[in-house]
Amino acid sequence: MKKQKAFTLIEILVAMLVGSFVVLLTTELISYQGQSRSQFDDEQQMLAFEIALKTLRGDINASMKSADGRKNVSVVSDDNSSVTLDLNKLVYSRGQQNIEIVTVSWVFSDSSVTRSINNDLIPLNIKTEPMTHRLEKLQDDVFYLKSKSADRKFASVLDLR
Amino acid sequence: MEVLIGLTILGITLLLFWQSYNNQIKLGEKLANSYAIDRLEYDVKILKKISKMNELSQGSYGKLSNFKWNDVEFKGTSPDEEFTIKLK
Repeated sequence: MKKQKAFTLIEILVAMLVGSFVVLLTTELISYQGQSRSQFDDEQQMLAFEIALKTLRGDINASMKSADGRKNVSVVSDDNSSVTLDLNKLVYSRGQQNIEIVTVSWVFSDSSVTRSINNDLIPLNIKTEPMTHRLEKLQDDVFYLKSKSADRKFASVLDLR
Repeated sequence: MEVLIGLTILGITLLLFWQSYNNQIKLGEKLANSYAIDRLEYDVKILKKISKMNELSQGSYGKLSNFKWNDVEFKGTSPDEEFTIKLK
């Protein structure tokens, strides 16, 4: 009688065990990857916001002053959710080889932070999770810009003296 | 045998990818902390100058915590280490 080729019960059990182990491991990997992605996005957004605040501090420090010695920065805060800042500063224009005055506008809104120079069409634009922004007056010409999302808070002193 | 070699190479590739991804997250964290310390230093010096240190918003500087200060210096903890800001 001719012997038929086939898998033994042990072989099938081992194969199923290995298969289920691989499936389990892959599921865990995918789940971990999703968590890491979310953490990565959070970190990136936090970093982008920090960089925006540092750039804002640089803009304020470089802003032109008015005759009374005060920095010429206009600040508008709307119903505790958005903040707009406009200021003028001198920049060196490499193309025209001269120094010119530009207007820098910052808008902190509920879903983004934008910085545009002379109303350019492509401003610096950071998309954020829903946030509220408000200004607290600490004393004349010194404000605390406070930004808040569901799980994160930022604060930055704006010294307009 | 070929399948085993293929799986080993795939495993090593995945491991390296995973490790680089985690390192990227750690780098982002370190950068954000460094920016937060810079922001805190700027803010604290102004608040000290205008005598409004009690207005410091303590939970608004990323993962920095345990703030303590006196007239001379400001101390805090970032996830990696303690830091000190000279106020004078």
